[in-house]
Amino acid sequence: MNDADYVLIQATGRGDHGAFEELMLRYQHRLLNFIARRLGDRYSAEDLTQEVFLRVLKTAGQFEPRGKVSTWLFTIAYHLCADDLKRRRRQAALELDCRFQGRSLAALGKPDPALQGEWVQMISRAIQVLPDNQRAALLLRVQSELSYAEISEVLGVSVASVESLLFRARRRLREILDGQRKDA
Amino acid sequence: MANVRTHEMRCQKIRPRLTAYLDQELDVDTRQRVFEHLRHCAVCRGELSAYEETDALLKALPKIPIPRSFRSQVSAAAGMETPRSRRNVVPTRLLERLMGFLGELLVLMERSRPRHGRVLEEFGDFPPMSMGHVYFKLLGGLR
Repeated sequence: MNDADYVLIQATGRGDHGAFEELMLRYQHRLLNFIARRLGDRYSAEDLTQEVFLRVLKTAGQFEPRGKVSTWLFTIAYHLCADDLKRRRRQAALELDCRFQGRSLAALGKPDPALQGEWVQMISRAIQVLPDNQRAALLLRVQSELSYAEISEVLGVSVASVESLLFRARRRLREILDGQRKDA
Repeated sequence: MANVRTHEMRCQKIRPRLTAYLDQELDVDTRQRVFEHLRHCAVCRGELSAYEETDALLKALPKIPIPRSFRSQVSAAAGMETPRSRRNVVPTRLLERLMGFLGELLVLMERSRPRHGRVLEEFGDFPPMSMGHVYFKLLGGLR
């Protein structure tokens, strides 16, 4: 366990705002990037990252020092993303209904300036094609550099399942990228 | 023929473990087995390097910057004192310390003021309101 993180979370639980800000400084970039790549939408990602920290603030006093603080933060982010993705799917289905009724289809998200560039677009699109649990596992491993044990804690699955998810995610991503290269 | 089939069977067993091999998440024995297989199997080596390439692309994705106002927004949403308002506290504290220091300096100067009333006229031509002017006035050098 990162002792410094634990000290910060304890202090946050006691209402120390300075500790809370230090915690934000440590994790805001990693969480924002994880959420943004998972949702494919940086603007909603900012809101959700904010929501992660607000939850931390509310529940810091209940944090149990069994696992790492980082794993706990990513678990909160993972579940918030899952809720958001469910809401988006419902909204997309609703908007699809609206289109069939002759109404305009609202844009699902603003264009993302950070995701510009051909190859960046290509990979970003490919990530979005992956099933959600594979995408989450891959981002946690490759971008956030969590171990299999930590990812299993975040996703609530066994370590063997994490290995399987990562294998399928990488194989699928490879297939998608190869397909996009052939098309291009 | 039998050798080829055995080799393919080994590939089928090894391939699902390649990403864990890449992530260094295999136990020592399994890692050694995969390593030995890779030495002799160009197809699996090719697959492993394809995964490495994909990971490299993922890692090279530009980092999304966080807005500078992010933490103050979170603090405001939580009903906390914002970093901006806390930043204002720092100069105030500094000013208080500076004022305290100057106050003590003036007291010390007052104590060291010459009691005999001798006028240091040769040093008394400081411009009005300059530090020298104030100092000598306090010492009683300027009337």
